[in-house]
Amino acid sequence: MRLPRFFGKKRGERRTGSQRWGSFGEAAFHGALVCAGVVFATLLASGVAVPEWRINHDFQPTRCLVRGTGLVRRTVEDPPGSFSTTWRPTVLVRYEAEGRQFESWSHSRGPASFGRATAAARLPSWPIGSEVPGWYDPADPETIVLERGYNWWTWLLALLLPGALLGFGMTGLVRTARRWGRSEEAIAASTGLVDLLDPSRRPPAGAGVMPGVPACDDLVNSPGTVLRYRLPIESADTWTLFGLGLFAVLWNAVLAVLAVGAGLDLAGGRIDWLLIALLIPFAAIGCTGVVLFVRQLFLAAAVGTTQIEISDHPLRPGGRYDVLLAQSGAGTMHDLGLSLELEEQATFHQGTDTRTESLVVIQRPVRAWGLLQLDPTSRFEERMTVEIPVDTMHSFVTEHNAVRWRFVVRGKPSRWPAFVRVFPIIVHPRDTARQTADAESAPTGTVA
Amino acid sequence: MTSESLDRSRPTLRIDAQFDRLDRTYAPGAPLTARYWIAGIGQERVRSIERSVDWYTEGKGEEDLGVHFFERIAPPSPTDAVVEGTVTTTLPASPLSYEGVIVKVRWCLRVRVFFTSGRDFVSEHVFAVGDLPPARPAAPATRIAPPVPVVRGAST
Amino acid sequence: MTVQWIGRGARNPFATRFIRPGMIPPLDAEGHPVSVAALAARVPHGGFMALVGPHGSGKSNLLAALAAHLAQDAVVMQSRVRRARDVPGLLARIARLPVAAIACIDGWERLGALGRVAVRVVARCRGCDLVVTAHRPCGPVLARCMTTPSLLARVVAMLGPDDAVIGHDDVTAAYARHAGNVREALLDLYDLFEQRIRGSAAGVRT
Repeated sequence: MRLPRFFGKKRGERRTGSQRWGSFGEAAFHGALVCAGVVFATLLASGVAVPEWRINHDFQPTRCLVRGTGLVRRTVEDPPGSFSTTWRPTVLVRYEAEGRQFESWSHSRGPASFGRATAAARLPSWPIGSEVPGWYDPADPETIVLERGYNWWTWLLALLLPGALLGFGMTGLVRTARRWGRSEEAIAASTGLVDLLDPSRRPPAGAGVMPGVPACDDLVNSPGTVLRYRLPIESADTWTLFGLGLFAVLWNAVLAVLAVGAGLDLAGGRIDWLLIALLIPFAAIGCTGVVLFVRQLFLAAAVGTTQIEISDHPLRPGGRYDVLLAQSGAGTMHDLGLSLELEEQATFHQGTDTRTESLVVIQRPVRAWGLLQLDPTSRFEERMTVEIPVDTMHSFVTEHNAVRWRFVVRGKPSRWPAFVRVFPIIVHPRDTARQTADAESAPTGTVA
Repeated sequence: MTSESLDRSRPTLRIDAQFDRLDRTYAPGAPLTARYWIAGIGQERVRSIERSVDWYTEGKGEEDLGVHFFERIAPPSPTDAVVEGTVTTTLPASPLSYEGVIVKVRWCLRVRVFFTSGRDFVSEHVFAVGDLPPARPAAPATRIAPPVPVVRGAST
Repeated sequence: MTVQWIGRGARNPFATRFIRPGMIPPLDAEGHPVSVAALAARVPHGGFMALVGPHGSGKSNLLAALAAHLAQDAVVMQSRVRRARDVPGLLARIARLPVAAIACIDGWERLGALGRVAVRVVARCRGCDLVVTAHRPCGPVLARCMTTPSLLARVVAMLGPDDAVIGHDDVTAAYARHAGNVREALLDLYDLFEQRIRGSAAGVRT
């Protein structure tokens, strides 16, 4: 179980040698939150929740004769120097309770939150002389209510604020307790309250799974037309197009509003030179955005889509797989190539900067074509067999490091810039049984 | 097995380990047994000992840590000159030890000794899971065949 | 914490594991050890001090060592700021500190003008000291971090690569290539080390 973390240690922050002092400070802070949560919960329970619960469970039914109606006015000074007034309807009723006759003004549930007109509009609900149901407090028969039920917001309020404080404080206390005087291995190995109670009885982390190997779920949910799976594309092109389009629309919308304002001024015989001076560079930027967006759109449309389908997924080192490359579009493609690549990626927070570096350590060309004539009515397709190299690293992803496998399609259309399209794949470790058999032949020692 | 302590203030403290495979290379999913000895504790009192089988990344990125096996055990008797223990676990299927260029994955047995003074001493004994050869940076992609004119069409 | 490592094969001594802030003892521009205790004694109560220097001159490393030293006698919070939106979290952390604690902030300029004012106000209200790193003077200067080829040579010697793999000329060239940025030079030497021990091709960086 992973505890929720509202805030706390950001990545890159670390406590120094006085961990215990720091932990003590955090524990005191979260302990104060827990105390505040308990106080709030007590106040809300005693002031709101319990009275409402008593009305619905303890109050006894009776019949009430309406003798008069009125409004209760409540004026409060909040903030100091500023007064606000609220109104609430109230009804004078005569009723019998505990064998005696009582006459008293009814209590309303909830805070007085009506305006005067709203409160007055509710009074005809209790015509004078009519008989209405009511409920009196057996502990104090002079207390009578004419409405029962629960206000959801009362309970929401009663639960939300103290609940948030208690949850915030408790999780902070548990987190502090988990980290108190513990090593990085102990923190990394811990999983939650079970571990807090008894760390030695926790099963090994990651048992029965493949730690560090990314999930393949998102790569196998698209069936192919020829082969089993169609690989999703990981390319910045789509986001670039979307980003440029969004920028062009938003920027030019603002520009249009300003231009209409300037136009109305001109029509009215006024010339706002400052606004016009601003409009010129704004218009230049807006036009540039539109041009870039249209260019990117043409590029995407003219080059055509690239698709890769594969016969199985995830892959394994040494495995051979059928791969289908499909390229749509029109015109001449000077070069088109498919390669299998393994890329290492490392992210390092150096001082105050974050630096991400990538390096391709395997780049195997699979197939290349030259002077390809594309027909818009029928896409180019080529099927081939790809072998994942034996004795290579499997796909591996952690917070700051990654080893990623991918197919890369590089193309150079005529009259358009070259493009690169990336199709991630997941390679699992080589068959465990085979590796175990290989290792059996290695020398062994004896550990007493 | 020899080790060199990097602790100048506590030069005698030393932790040695012996693995049940002499080449320290294990197949994924294989059982691992390692025995360790802690010597030179001296007069300082030990609060607890943690032993873990971990993997971590090394290279040009921040270090990421994964803990496969973790155990905290009670302090030894103050009269023990040498403390020894055994760790037994079954390794997972991944990650494999990897000697990449900017990303490396290493497996290790770590033994950490906590003293009542608040200081701790950690010893790391590296072993390998799998037997992958070191990676080499790829040369820029080369064309595998000279471009030949291809007329559109499905060639499947 | 004391670390003992026992492993096999060549290990790249320039990996971030060994060069990250706090791993290398602080050195002055000529490569001589810096007295962290003397620096710590100059941190005033309720005051503000800055470690100033260009990128890769050892500010973060010195701050880490200073924080570790100060932590022997006081509550010390160390925080690295990467962007302005880290400000609320940082303010919350400072607000939770006990009186007379020391907040060590790496990346003072990244807080932005408003963030810097807010952090100073909250720290003053809490009675906390501030020790920060900055590229330009922004108040009383505790230390100016500068580099020389001698400093890089000393750091490389401490990391202990095989002389046959990384030589003095390589160190000098790396220093010159990165215009005195020691951190970049060390990462450059990482690549050179990998290249030499593998006898590799140039590689494809993306």
